[in-house]
Amino acid sequence: MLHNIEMTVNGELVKAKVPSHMRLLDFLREELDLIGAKEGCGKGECGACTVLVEGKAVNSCLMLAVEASGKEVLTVEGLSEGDSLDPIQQSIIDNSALQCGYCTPGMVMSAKGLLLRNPSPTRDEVVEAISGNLCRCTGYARVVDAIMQVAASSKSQDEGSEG
Amino acid sequence: MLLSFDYVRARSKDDAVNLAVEAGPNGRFLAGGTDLFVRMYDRQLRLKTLIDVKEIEGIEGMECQNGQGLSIGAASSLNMLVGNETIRSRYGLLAQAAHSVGSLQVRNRASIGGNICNASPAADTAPALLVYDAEIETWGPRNTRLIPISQFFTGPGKTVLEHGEFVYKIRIPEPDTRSYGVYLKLGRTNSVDLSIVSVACLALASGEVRIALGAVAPTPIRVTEAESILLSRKDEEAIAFAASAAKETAVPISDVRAGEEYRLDMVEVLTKNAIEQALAGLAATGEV
Ligand SMILES: Cc1cc2nc3c(=O)[nH]c(=O)nc-3n(C[C@H](O)[C@H](O)[C@H](O)COP(=O)(O)OP(=O)(O)OC[C@H]3O[C@@H](n4cnc5c(N)ncnc54)[C@H](O)[C@@H]3O)c2cc1C
Ligand code: FES
Ligand code: FES
Repeated sequence: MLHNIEMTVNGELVKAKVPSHMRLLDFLREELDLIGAKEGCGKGECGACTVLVEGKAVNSCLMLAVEASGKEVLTVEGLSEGDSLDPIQQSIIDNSALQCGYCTPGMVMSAKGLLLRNPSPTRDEVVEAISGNLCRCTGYARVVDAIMQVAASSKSQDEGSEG
Repeated sequence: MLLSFDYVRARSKDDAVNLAVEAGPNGRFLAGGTDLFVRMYDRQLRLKTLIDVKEIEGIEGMECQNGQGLSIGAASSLNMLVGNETIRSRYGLLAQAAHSVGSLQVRNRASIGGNICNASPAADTAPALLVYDAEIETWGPRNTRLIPISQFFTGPGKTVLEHGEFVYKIRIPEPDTRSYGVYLKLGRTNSVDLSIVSVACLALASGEVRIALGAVAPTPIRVTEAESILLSRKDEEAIAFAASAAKETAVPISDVRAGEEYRLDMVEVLTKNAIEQALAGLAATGEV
């Protein structure tokens, strides 16, 4: 069965015709060539496929493209503006918080989802937000550091602008 | 990749029932898909039709009216429950249980209705719903019914739902008195793992203590033998008796997560801890 779908992906309106069984992950990667989201396990365990739907982190391997119709989707490709990276991306680089990088787009999107709803999280909240993202090489300490740093700098900026 | 199937969206309660009846045995209701898509990906399950229930009016969201208790739309995500102030403050045990499921990403999709309809013996919200005496409001070909949660599960993956019948709301009666609940879940890791053993314990100011267990029987269960021991006495010895009664009631299996013997021992330990924590919590809230 085919469906006409319409969604906003990284700020742009996308229209397409997709079969029922096409996952959001397949739609992003195969139809839109947005290959940032990765398929690790295909069943909700690794988080490599994490994207934001309506601002919330979800596993795009466990959602159908047709279910995302009418919704707003953000992938790692939508974070940077031209050459300027999102503060989370920059902080991952500054903290050497990646090795092979396979988990990184998912980690970054989980962090983005967290900071959107909670701009100054505690370390525990950061750990919780990425607990559905597996990393097999870097480990988690540097990733948590990187996210905490973004949270801290946005906080000091806020304080600066107030004072 | 998933193998092909047809996706249809139910527009109303009647529409959902009709679509399911029409689809026959190879049709299934779809909520968050976090159980269904995993089994379909693993080729354990091949379906022809998925009937999405998420757009049915009233199936998402929560309502709490004084004297009426709490009504939760079946398709509400577990993170909606975790973030809901009423649930956190008045039905804390349910918030804890919902919070213990999977990862943040999973909880953003996973629904409470899907959790109970999937009927895993380890379904984390089930022990909480059991101690709150929840009722399941369903709609089906023969109209609507209200099923006590204690009668809802019939075996691993099995419920009393008839073909074409779906869960619309989960109703939790207003507790008569102050209560304090604790959910203890033993997994291999702190997140993204099903429980090996789980215990829900709700202590009420009336003196009643309710206890339910997950992952140690074909269905989640209430342990009334343990509860009755605590009706009159709550000293150390009574708590130990109750914990051992819970162990007696449990009939776990051995699987990849743990052996039967270990599960039995852990039922006793966790039950004891849960009772102690619930009683202490109740006493502490009474002081303020
Ligand atoms: C990585 C991962 C970790 C997990 N960890 C846990 C965990 O720790 N604890 C736990 O309990 N579960 C866990 N789960 C399982 C799952 O997330 C939950 O059971 C979830 O609540 C299922 O809800 P859903 O909306 O996704 O269900 P779906 O997959 O949409 O449906 C599940 C079943 O229920 C039926 N159904 C759904 N809604 C209705 C309805 N309203 N009426 C009638 N039938 C309905 C479907 O037909 C299907 O048979 C995990 C899953 C994943 C992928
Ligand atoms: S690919 Fe989606 S969670 Fe692993
Ligand atoms: S950097 Fe290799 S998996 Fe995380």
